[in-house]
Amino acid sequence: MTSATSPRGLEWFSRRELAKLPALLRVAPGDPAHQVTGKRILQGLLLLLLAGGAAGLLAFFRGHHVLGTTHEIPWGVLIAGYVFFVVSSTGLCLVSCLGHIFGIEILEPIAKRSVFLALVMMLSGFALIGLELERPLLLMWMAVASPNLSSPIWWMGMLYGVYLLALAGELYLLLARKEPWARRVCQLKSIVAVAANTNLGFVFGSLHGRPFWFGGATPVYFIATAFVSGTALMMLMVYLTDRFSGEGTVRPPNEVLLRFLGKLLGLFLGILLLFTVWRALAGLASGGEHLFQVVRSLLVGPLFVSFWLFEGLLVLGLPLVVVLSGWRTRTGALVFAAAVTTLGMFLVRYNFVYAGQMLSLRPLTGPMGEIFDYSPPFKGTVAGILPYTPSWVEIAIVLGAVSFTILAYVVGNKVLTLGEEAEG
Amino acid sequence: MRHEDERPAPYWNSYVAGIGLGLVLLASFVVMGRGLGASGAATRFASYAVHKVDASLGGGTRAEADSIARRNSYMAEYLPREGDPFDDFLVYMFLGVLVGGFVAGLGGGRVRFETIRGPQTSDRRRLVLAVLGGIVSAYGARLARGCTSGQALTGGATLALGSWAFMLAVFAGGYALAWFMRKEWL
Repeated sequence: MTSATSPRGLEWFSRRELAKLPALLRVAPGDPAHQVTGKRILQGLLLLLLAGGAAGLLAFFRGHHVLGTTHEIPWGVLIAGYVFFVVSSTGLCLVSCLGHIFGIEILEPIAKRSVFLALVMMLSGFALIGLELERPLLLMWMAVASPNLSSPIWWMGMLYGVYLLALAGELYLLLARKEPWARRVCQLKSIVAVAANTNLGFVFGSLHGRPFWFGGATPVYFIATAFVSGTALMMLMVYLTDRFSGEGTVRPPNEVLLRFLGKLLGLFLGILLLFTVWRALAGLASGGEHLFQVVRSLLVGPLFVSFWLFEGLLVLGLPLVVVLSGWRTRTGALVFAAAVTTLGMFLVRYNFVYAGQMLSLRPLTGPMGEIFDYSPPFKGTVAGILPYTPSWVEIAIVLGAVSFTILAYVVGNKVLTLGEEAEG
Repeated sequence: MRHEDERPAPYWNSYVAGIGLGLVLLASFVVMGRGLGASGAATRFASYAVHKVDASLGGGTRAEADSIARRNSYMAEYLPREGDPFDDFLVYMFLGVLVGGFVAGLGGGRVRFETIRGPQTSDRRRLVLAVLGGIVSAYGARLARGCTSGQALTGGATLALGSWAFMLAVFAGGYALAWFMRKEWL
């Protein structure tokens, strides 16, 4: 137990492990191969984190000048990254709460880890949106001093703020072994998580000027994607934690858990597949030229590759093949499915954010400035599509946030008693 | 689904596969009005990647108009100012080949993670040589204005002299290098 080296009342915190953290990065001569690989990866992640930190400082002090966003494409990869992190965090929380709320015992041993990872992902998400907003400190102050209750974005901040506090509270209660209270907080947190996630969907869904995002289906789409991301991340978390610690192999109970999560992933992917198909068909059938052109761009236009490759192959195609075939009993195949789903979901967010803004909203004007068409400046062609390329600063910030999430999870897994092996 | 211990299905008879490929080529001429090709799609992907990475390093969207790929006359051909850089038959074909290969692998029970190599070499060496070989042959394909699909198969089918010269050069190059590389496979 770690209590021998921990301050009184903080039995779940290991001071001894904290002192040993630098050893996580140092490759020692006697290290087994899997630990050497793990340490090399952590070293790489630390470098990415430093690069991300430097880029974050640039963005903080220089603002939008160093981002690739424009007046017409104001939301870029930082917003996509923010959506990825917070929606994945919600999904992780909701899937782990299935154990508490519905008594699915197989999920209970990983509750602490899931909550901790969800917490870290929220912090990464907040960091991304903070840097995107240019003045995060002003935002924090104004959200309290001058709240706009009719703004979905204000509610987004508020609900996710409450969700973050609930995550922190639940983690503490779980670590302090106050299970009954943790269970209650978990139930409340699930409600807040659903509210926050669907409200984030409504931030997009309430923009009637952006037909691709607009509509009541968008919040439901967000919750469906949360379950997909959350399950895939949980599978990766379970696998990687075993793979790079102890013996370097997945422990038998976790193999069973991975197969269970694989089935869940299949269910959620099936729901997402239906959503994707009907959303696309509804877009093609829509009377509005704008929505039709965006969906056409995704299916057979400029976003063809990213739609079919990221959304079709990575998120829906390959993982579904794995979980619906005999491969669903193989750990390696399940982890592959989880990895491509996670990567694909990030790119799906990027597609979603960009596709909503890719068509100019400026009216088409004649030589004398007269307005004669409010529809995008093309009919049936792909001309008139607004470009967007993220700047290296944006890319470095996103990679830094990914690195921070993984490194913080590794540190938390060492220093806190998040799992059985951490207590031994 | 096949079990792990079950052997993969045997490969197709190469003559049957050859006739099948010929029919695909014929269908391509009839339906699309042009033959097959592979390296053209890769060039489009590469040009697009260079364009985007350079714009990204230059500050993002605002640097797109004057990216290094746009200034390069060869790459600029693949980056239309208006329209879609991937709106080309070869791109769709390229993705179709990947999907078709995957499906064929599934059907034959051959889909697995592995490094196919000779018994005397290591995985790392095999991968390094494969990447180097890929770079050399991709560069050669663009110098020759086509690869084994675009030049040898499509051009050869139309009896283009340059394509036959290309094909003979590929075989000559392959035989000339085989002696030096034999240890990688034997």
